[in-house]
Amino acid sequence: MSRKHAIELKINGDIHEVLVEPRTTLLHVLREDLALTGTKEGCNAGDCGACTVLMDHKPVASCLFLAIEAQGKEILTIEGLDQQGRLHPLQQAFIDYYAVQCGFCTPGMILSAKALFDKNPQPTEEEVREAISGNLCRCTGYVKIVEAILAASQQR
Amino acid sequence: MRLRSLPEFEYMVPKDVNEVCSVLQQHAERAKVLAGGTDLLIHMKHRVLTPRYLIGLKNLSDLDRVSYKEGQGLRLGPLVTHESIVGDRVIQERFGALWTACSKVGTPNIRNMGTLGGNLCNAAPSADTAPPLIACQALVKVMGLAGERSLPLENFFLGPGKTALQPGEILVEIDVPCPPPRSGMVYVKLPVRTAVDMAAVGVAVFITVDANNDACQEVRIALGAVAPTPIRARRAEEIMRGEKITEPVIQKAAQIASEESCPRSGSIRASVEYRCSMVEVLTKRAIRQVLAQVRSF
Repeated sequence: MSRKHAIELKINGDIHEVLVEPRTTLLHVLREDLALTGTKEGCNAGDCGACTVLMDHKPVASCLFLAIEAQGKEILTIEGLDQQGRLHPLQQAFIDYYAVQCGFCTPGMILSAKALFDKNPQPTEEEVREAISGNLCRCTGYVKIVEAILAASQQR
Repeated sequence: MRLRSLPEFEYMVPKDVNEVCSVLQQHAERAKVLAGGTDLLIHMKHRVLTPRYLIGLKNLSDLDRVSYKEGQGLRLGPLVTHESIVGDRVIQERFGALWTACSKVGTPNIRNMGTLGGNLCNAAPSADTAPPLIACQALVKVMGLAGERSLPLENFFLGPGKTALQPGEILVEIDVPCPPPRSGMVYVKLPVRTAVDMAAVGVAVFITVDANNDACQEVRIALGAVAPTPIRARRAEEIMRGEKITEPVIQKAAQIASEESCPRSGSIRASVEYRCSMVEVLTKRAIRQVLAQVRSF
């Protein structure tokens, strides 16, 4: 086994100290060490977007990110979105517009949408579709997801 | 094969380029540099690559810069992400073909992690950033323990996955000269799917027109995914160079470009016939788009 490194990760505003091998991915640390299971393992190759987290406000594939390289960054997972139990407008919109079926793609979708809003608070439908182009959904056909995101952008 | 964990490796973070080169020289085949990791980590998960040492480049902040000087051109660090290039106004306005290419790499997640240097050094025949940079006559600077050397990007690719990097060398800079006045450039990508996919065919065209706006003073056509490396369609260029750019000239150039392509057979992505046919279609499209660009100045 490779030598383990003690690293500090800043996740959802909290500092966590974890012991990792160099080969441990951020996705693995989130799910296995920190029990933040909202972030999902889909394709494990960076294509499906189920493992999306925001790193310094930018969406990245946590399955391709070594935990040891995530030090010094601000990481936001789906668990960090609500404010003391109050859902983020995106989360509420996904419920109101029936944009969730099995729910597996949902955390990644919402975080990609949040990253879009941070840059562009009033996106067009095309801009929304572009922003979620790396988040695959096998259930919904995307229509309600796009509606939910557009609706959430109107509320701000 | 089940794609779960990464193989074991040791992780180092050298403090500067010299130290990176030393480590690379010392460990040779057993060491790989880690930039965005979006290709490397996948190869490692599949056990196609199993380096004993990964060399993290995050201390090399000098290699993560973009600078532009009027008259001199664009200087790109290899660690610049695709998304950084997409967010750069100067690149969007003056080097639009590169901008387009970077905006179409992978997914938003991949664009936030993957780097220009990684795209070039992985040397996939379909690499999106290669045709536009070749069409712009980009130069690359490479650093090793013996010092620095420069070469045209066109000569950097030796085969699928193979570059002109010698043991102990890394890419440190990509230089793109200023386009002369009355120039335009375009990159057209044909993926198999509407998003996420690699290029089945990539065509970059760069044209400088004369003062009358109708004759071709200079032209460069670069093709991706239709040969073992990105290539220039030099015979197609010869058809156009010095000539008035009429419909027959465009048709002829596109047809020749298609003949200069030699895609790999047996690809799951597209057949040889389809790729060659699409080179002709996309070359025509690209030339017309560039003409529209220069005529609108």
